Amino acid sequence: MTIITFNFDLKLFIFMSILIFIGMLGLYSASYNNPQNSNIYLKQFLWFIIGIIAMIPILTTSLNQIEKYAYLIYFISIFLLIITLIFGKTIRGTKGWIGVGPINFQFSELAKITTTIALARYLEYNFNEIKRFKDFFVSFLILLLPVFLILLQPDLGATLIFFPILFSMLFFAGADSKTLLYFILTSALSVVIPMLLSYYQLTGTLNKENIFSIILSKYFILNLIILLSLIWFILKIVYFFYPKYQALNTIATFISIIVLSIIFSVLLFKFLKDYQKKRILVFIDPKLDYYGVGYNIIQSKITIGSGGLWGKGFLKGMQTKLGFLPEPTTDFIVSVIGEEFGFIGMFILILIYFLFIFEGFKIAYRAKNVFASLLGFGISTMFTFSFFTNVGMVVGIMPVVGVTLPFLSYGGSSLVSSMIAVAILMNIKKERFI
Amino acid sequence: MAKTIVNPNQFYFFRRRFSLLLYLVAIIFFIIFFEILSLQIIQGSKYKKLSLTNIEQYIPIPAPRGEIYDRNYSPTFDTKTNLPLVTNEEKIGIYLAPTYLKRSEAIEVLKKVSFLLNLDSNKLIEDFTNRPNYYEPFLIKMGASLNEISILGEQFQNFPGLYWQTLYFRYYPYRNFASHILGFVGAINEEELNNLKNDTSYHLNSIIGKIGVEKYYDKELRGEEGILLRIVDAKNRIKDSKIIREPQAGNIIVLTIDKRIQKILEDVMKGIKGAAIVMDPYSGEILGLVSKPDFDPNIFINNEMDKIIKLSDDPSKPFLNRAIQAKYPTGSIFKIVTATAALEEEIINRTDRFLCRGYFRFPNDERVFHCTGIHGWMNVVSALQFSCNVFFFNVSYELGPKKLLEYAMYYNLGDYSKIDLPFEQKGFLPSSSWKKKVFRESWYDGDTINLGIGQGFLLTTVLQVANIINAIAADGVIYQPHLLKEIYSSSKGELIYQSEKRILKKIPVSEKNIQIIREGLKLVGESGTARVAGRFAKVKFAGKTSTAQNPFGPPHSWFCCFAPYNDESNRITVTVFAENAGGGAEIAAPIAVAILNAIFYNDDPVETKKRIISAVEKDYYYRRSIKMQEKEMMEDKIDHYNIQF
Repeated sequence: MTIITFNFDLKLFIFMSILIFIGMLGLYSASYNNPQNSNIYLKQFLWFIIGIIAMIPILTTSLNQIEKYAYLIYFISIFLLIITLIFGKTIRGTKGWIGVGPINFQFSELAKITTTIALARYLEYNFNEIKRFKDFFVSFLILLLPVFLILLQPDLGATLIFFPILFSMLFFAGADSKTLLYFILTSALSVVIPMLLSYYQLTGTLNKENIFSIILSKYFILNLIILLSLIWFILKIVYFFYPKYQALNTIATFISIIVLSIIFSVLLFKFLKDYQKKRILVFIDPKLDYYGVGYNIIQSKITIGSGGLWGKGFLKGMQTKLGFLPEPTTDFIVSVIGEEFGFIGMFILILIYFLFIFEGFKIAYRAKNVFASLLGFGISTMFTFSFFTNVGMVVGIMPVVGVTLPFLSYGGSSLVSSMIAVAILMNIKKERFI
Repeated sequence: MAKTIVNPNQFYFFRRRFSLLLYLVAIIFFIIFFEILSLQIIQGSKYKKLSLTNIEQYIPIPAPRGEIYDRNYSPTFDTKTNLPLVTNEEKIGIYLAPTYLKRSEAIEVLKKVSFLLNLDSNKLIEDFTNRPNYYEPFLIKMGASLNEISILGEQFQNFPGLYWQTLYFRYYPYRNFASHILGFVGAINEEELNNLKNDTSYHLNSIIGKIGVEKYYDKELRGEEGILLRIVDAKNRIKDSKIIREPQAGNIIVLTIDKRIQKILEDVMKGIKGAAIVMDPYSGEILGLVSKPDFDPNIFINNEMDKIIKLSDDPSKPFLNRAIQAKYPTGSIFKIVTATAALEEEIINRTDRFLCRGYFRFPNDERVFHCTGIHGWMNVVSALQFSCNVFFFNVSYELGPKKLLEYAMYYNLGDYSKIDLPFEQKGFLPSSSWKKKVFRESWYDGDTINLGIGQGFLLTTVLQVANIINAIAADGVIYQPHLLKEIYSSSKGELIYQSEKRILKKIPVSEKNIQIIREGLKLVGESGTARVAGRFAKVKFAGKTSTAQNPFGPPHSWFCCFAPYNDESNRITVTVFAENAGGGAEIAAPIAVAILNAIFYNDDPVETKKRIISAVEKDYYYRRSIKMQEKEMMEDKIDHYNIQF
């Protein structure tokens, strides 16, 4: 006999609702003078209701059920992503929405949750013993499938969040720290090198006859990769026969990091569009493109900074009202809060978010089994990373990648998916002892 | 591997990693918190200011430049009859500021506006897109009517980035009249801006006077710009505007120039390359000043580049103010200075005589210095009357160069007159140290006697020559020449400033000696070198001709005089200079007499000039002296600084 329980947690619900309420205040103000958009806060409220309705079935499902159907859920969302690529609507350059009438839904938001579930399922079997490459590799694959599909839309911002979720889950599933470090290092280098290259390209240094253009010539890179791979191979063989020379292995590891980084870097460099490169670079120096991509960051900082201690008052934010702040309802909703409610308002917002995330991690720590724990960590990481990228972007310490802030930014898909994630957290918390 | 049912936080590594994560999360939040603190609290005022500059625009409101009038201006006169020499035309310019507009939006606005204003939209859009800098304001139409402005104003919300501004354009209604005095205005350039960087009323887009009174009195004329505060949104649409400071119109400048006298000068000097100055010797006021060829200052306002270039390339240099900006050999007029020195230094008195045989020689020297004729026994009066070189050779030889230069400086030669116009030149006084430096030769006696008759290295401006006759007319005092008579405030019409006469130089000459010189100068017109012109004169005058040799062609023609001789209350001086025009009596004196008759008797100066010039050509004695000069030039070897007549 299955017992139908309703796993409702008041604490989480209150945190979530406060955040949504703050978001609605911001949305109201941001769209106040815009006749086309002026009931955006009502739309958000509607999605909130839909979200509550979506939460109910999840709250009545037990975690075991979710675990049982983890891969099914995962593949359904993959399927939905493929459908999106074929039939999807293109909004702002991204073919990421499926629309039914006036309602548009972005399945990439949902994919975040389902991938987390799938990863939790896969990793629980290798708990504490994730050392072999196979384990890493498969978990990467689970992640790369939706990432790849989303990149095809294209939507860079949505793909970024998958990586920290994976690393965090690997971390808590007991992955070997050296290997984890290896992967993190490779990924980091694969991002930093294209950034540097893009910088040189943008500032024109690349076009001249200098050491960079030599390095970047195809032949040079290819030869370099082949040469380094050869060295790695030799080192590995020698190490195999003489295992006492640990240094050989370490050097081989470093070389492999470099080789892989180069390969990924080149791929990334060719694959990234110019404007995406620009966005990343511009967060280093917004003046590189003042009236273009840098404009957003500059205006955002001005908006928040001018709020001062007490803010300018509800509905009195000039930057927002006069249209200087771009994307005030989505990317830069925090700036609106900052301008109108000042440091006091921001402090309250950050505090609530902090308490919320802290609660999430606490729940994950105390979960009844590995699956639930990993799932909890994945979800909490998701919220942390979204918070950090969005607010970081708004204050100018992260590049503009189009990540919205859960519960505050306007977006039905984001809101509903986040509420579903909260529902899962509630499940984990309430099923602590079953 | 079977799935683990065990609670993971039993595992040590798990607990450790969890604490690690908590630290990481805390760090993340702390970073965010600190950044927000930095933006809002630490740098809050900076961002507050930035947010205001986003939305607040300070637009300068141009002030109308002060008008310029001639001396007959009075604030109570009807301005219709009291026409200014320089004034302003008001025009409304319609602009598009595309700063926050996308290209497509800007083009949309241009299309709509060109439809309403009946402009060629294709050309407008083409001009707009072909600009090198997209963000600069784009002029759609200059000179829009009020009707057009009201049409645009009704639909203002549809035209983001559109604005209009009243601009004042300088207008010179008399065109080529007194152009060198008045000057013109233009956009400020880098150098001027740099020189004025401590003066906040000048900025990048300022209009500034370039030459003439427009430049010299620019500060008085320009007034003060007003400031308009505009609140704009991100699309540069005006939400609100407020005048913070009203523009102050520039002050009215009243010149000492008399329109009637100036017109006489303009007419009579037409077609002549040279300058003429009419002054009041007892105050230094300039009643008329002309330099020909000249130009129409309006070409600079209307930016008629082809005309500007043509005039700039014109070898007769129409932009050169020949009255104050050019230095010329003075010639015989300098004899007045020599005579002053000789009389004051008591080298000679009124009756001392020298014999003129037509030439002069130094003792034990073969060189011959020629005279303008064979004059016989000459005293200072007759030497001035007939412009006898030999007399003055003797006198200057005895005076020596130092004394000559001393008296030259008393007459303010080699120095500025400080007239209120820019770019005045101060002429040139030679000295032995100068000659050694430049020619590596010492000063010769020949240089002294040449200097004594105003040839050689001596150079003066027309204004400096005018000062010489001014001194004689005003009993040995040179009053500072000036153009400014009064300054009135535009808004209230009240008198702000009235100029007073100032003494520039006082020449140490006794009244007796001045009378002697005056006598000689009076005879010049009665029976001396300017007797032909004198026949036509309706006023008694005293003056001096000069035929200044120069290496560039025919001699320069000079004449200066004061009149009426017997009436001090009415006295004026007239100085005429014609470049490379021939003898002083040939051109300059006739012009001067024509001017006198026109001023005192309203005769047509051009007619008078023509008649006198043809009379001069027929005069027997004049033709004889020309023949003599030609004969001498063929007989002797010509050393360019030895020829003088």
